[in-house]
Amino acid sequence: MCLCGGFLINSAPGFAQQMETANRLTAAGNYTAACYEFERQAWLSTDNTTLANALMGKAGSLIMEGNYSEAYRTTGRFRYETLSDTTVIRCRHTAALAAYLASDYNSAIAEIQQLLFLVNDTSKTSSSLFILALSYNENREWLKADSVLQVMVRRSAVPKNMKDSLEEVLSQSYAPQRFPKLKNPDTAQKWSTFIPGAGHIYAGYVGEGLLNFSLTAASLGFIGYEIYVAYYITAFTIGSGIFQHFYFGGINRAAFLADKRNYRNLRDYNDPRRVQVLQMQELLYGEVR
Amino acid sequence: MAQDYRPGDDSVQLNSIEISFLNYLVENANYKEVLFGTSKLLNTPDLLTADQMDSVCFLRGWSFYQLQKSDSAVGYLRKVRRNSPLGEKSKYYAVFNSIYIREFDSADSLLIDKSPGFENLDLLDKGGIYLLKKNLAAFDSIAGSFDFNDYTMAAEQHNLIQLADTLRKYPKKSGVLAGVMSAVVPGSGKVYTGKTAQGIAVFLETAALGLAATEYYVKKGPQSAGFIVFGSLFTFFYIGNIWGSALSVHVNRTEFYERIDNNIMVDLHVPLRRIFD
Repeated sequence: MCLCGGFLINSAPGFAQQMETANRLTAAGNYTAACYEFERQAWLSTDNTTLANALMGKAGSLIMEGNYSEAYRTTGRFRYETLSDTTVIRCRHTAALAAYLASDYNSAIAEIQQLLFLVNDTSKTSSSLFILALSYNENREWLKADSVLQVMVRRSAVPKNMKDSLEEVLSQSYAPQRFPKLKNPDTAQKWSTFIPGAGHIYAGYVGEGLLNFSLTAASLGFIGYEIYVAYYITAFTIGSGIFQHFYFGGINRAAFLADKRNYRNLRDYNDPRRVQVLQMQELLYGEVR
Repeated sequence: MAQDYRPGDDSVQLNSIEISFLNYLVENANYKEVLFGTSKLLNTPDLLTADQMDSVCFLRGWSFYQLQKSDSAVGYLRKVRRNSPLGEKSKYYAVFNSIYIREFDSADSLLIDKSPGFENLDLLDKGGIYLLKKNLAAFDSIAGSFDFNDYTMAAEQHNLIQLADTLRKYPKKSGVLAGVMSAVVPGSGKVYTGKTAQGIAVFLETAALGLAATEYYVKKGPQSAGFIVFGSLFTFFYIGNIWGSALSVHVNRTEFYERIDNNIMVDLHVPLRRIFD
């Protein structure tokens, strides 16, 4: 299962041979040569369908090469006028996939939403919905992702008992109580402002929080001791300097740790969801393309 | 070796089509593919006419330039013959790329060969080179010939003169003086070099350590652990600050020159786009 496969393009008879050459180059991993040949087909094209096929081939090559942002830029050259529904679907699908892989989730969502708006036949668009679900996941819009996945299941041709079990899996995976608990960096900072180390603990880093609390307390202890032994200058200069470093440094660190925790929680939740979505796509609509 | 057009030669026709395709690739900013295509054509140079060779070298040089590989761009742009329709554009972009990679001799050698109608651009490029070399006297001799009547570069001519004035007015600060100042009053050398906030911070840090060391020295004597710790830290910060202050004169000057040099490059670049694009 791979998001990078399935870009070998069928084309109009007049271009079949050249497209075949370009497809072979892509399959052989000779992406620059393949892109060159696909561009040649785009240049020679006399209609928007041939242009779209050539550009889809190039975008596919770039995706296989791992150059996702360039792939998405290439899909921006599609001319949608006069294209058939089938070609529009493939173009928008390729564009959405390139945008998703380039981590441009808003563009991926926009491409699929335009596809759904332009093509009324839901049987033709359902196999592209998984990109929408994946993008919603990354945008932390899990309820929307769940809705899209439910639609994918309902529209598929699998037996009813399988649909029921998939819906059950989804209801468990996307239960709101399972969504990542995201920490607010501002709250973490506020906690550490009032109790040194508390923001770290709020962010889930208990050990680091206790260490910060101890070091801040120790620096206060140092100030107290220096005052007790009448070393007032040292207490005022060095003691307060050390205290400020631990106190204010701890506040900033708490916000950083909250962001770090959010990232980890997000990945811990989204990575299994990604695998789940791709498995569902494979089960419901065949190979992931 | 490039050769003249021979009627009936199929390869000439095929290469002509390929070059049209390469131009299309450039229009769509597919520079990586242009490099691929031109390298294929350059593998068989005997099949290219002289004009085709010019086009291929120009397209390859142009793509390198767009991909910000100036050293490669210069090599190919220089290969375009001067009497080619692309000759002047290639020459001046080769000059610009040579200047960008600071190969001033290469740029000068291109400018020696005069191009009728491009005298103002020659002057602008020469002026830019002198400014980049920080040779203000030579720049002044060139700037005296700026006529400010050519709309494609009048603003840039004014800009270069302003940049020269900025360079002239840049205070010559001494690293030694900055170091001595920081030795007398920690942080003052940094203030002298223009980094006031850093100077204040350094002063507070060093003073705090110095005061703490003094307090331990007075109350517990030179053998006390407090004096040794704070005294060592004070010495470390004190000497480090003297060295840092002296160095920051050089760092400031480098940063200032980098800013000026970037502005000069912009002023040399913009007229090219106006004239040739």
